[in-house]
Amino acid sequence: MLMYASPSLSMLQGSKQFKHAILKNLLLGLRKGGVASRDMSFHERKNAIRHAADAALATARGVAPCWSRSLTAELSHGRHLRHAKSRPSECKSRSKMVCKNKILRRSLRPRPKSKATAKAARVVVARTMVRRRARALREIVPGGRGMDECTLLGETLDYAVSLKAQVDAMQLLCYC
Amino acid sequence: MRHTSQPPPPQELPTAGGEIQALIPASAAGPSSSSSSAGGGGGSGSFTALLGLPTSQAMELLLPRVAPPAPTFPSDPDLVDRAARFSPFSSPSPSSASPTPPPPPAPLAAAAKRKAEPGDRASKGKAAKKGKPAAGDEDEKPAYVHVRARRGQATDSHSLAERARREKINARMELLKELVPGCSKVSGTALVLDEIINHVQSLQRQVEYLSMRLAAVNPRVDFGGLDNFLTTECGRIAGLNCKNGIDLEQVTWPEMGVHGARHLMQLQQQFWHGDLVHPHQMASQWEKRGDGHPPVFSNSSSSLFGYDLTSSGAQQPPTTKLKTEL
Repeated sequence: MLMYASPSLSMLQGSKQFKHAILKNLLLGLRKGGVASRDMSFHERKNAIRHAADAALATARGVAPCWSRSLTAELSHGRHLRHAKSRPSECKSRSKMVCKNKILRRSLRPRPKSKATAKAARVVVARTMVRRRARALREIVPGGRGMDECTLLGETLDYAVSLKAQVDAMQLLCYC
Repeated sequence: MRHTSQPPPPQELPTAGGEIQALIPASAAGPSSSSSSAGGGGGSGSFTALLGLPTSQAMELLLPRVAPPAPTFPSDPDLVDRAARFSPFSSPSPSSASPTPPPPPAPLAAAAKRKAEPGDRASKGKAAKKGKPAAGDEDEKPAYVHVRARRGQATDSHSLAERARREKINARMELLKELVPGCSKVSGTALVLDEIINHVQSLQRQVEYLSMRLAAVNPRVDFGGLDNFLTTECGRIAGLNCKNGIDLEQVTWPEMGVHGARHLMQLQQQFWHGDLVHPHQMASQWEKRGDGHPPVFSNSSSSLFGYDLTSSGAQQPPTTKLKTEL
């Protein structure tokens, strides 16, 4: 069970620190990555910047959360194989989920016989829906494959906060 | 903070609602009972989940036993802090681990009055049967799992463990609902998870978009020059000279406004030492600056950043070339 200790302000005070760390790592990574050189296409440059941003985020977050370690591993592995990580994969998974939901709906619509079976059907459907969304979440959060639902939710929380910080840091850099 | 334009919302949203409408509201069935079990917690006391205890006589529950290994709790301090930050209830939750202040300890005499829990109720889960109250007060032992059971709920070890797990999951769902905007009015696990997924996806898309913007800006931007600029401003203050051979040159930075420059200067003053930072290590790294002994994180991450490490000399020509364009 989560321990609701007295609310320490380390995260609140640390969020600015965290953003600054991301920004600094990003600048370092961009400089080292040779992004400023001329001989890159637009796509290559964009991918390089995104990789640098993700690496900066993962480094600034540290090795405590699981997603951070998985992200680092993904980035180094992907870079090793020269394989650009593609985000549009999530669209396919969500559309598959939608199709399966339609089939599920159609299969369950006719004739709930009695109250008991209807209730059981409701429960089953709810559980299935939640499972599907948990699967989609696993594919979104890095390293979500080997996690049970409970840690998945915790990692999602951490990941969402960190992503927000990353977006803020990049906006700072982009729009300053 | 400016908001970037979002791509059109995914088409799955209306179908998710339709999915719900076509069925009997399924979301009411599952999580509501579990939330009712977790959220109430008030009157009845708490008792410890002693895994492996065969029957659940009330007195047996109260007797101190050798603690079984507690289930894995998140020991991540950041998550705990975030939990504390995002949680609406900063006071201890109804079901909590040992460090929280214990409920008012009922005397053992009162416990003795409680009738034995019929352990034959093997039904795991949420069946609320009429029966003896299952709750018992217990003096806190640090290694036990503390789960609050409502009146008439099963107390065998499996259902206790399940209830503990469910309460963990519900607590995290609460935190996530606090985090994601507009999620607190949504009820039901599936819809909340939908919102969470959409939120995380939108954040990831924002990162893509911003990296595209930076790539578009980049041919005019000189990140090496940026470092030079910052180093110039702060090099005197920090007295650093270990920048992989960056010369301290005066660079005018037309892109940056005053605020951005000040931001980055503060950043530089605090953190710059030519190595990657981790927020928790900044103090130590500041001291170790001259050592040449980077901690583990920097090692692993510096290898990550070794895309194509141009020599220091090679960095100069593009720097000067691009500076003339500014």
